[in-house]
Amino acid sequence: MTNSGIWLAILISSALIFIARIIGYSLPNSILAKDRLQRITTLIPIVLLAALVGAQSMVKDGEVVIDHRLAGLVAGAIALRLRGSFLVVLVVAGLTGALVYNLI
Amino acid sequence: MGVAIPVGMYGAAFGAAGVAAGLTIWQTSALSLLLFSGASQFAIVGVIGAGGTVLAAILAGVLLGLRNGFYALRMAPLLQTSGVKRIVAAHITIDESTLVALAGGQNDLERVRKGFWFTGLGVFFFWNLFTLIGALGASLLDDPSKWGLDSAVPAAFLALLWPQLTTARLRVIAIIAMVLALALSPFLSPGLPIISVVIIAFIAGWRSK
Repeated sequence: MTNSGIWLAILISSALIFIARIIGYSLPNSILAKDRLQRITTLIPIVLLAALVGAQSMVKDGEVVIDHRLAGLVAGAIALRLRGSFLVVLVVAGLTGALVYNLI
Repeated sequence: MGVAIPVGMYGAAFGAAGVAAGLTIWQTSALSLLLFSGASQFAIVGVIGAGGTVLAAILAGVLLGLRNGFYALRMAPLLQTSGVKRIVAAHITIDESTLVALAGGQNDLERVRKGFWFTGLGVFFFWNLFTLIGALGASLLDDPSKWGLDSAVPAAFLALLWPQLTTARLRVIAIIAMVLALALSPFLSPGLPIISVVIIAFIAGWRSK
């Protein structure tokens, strides 16, 4: 990608996402008053975050792979289970992932 | 402030990833300033690094960033903003600010708003500061995997998701979403498998339970 192509991608993506955010704030509240939409918008962050967990821990170049990232994630999940803080979870996951990556 | 250090770590990882993908320090920092949505930014530099087209980079970035629009829809009645304040609120509507705001229920509006503004502005500051540090230090960090950065990223998302999984039904929904995203990954371009799980939110939320 050329330098100007990269700038184009940056500026257009940023503008479109800002527009999506502003539209969210500008729609009338009556839309949200509907129970159904309320339920759906509550579930959206949950399903997207779950998808991100999977995609970022097990997908590489469009293929599902098991590697050091999954080891890190499992260690992070154990830390969460033991009520570790956000930082502890990240450090445990990062250290475990780095260890597996460097040893295997 | 509890989110500042992980955000800094994640921001530094993004800064390094941006420069490693062939962006300049300015371009990497511009993404953090103007787009300000982690997964979306990672997707864009990922596509650029993999040799994708401008359109593919925009598509991946926007598909991942669209969820901020849904968060905005969710936050709008709670924040009740207008004018410049609404513009700022819109720009700092991200995973962290929305989740912190909603973490303790929606009854105490003052707590919800405080959580949103503190987290959003705090993350914006640390995210941009550490993007710059990461971009500057990228030449020293030869391989992000060696330092565990790519393992910490999914754990960060899991840590954000965890407190929301309050019932068995929500846990099942989350697992289905993750499996669907994984199953679709070989067939769809980067970003699409993630955004496509929104369909599960529609199906599961359609009827009251």
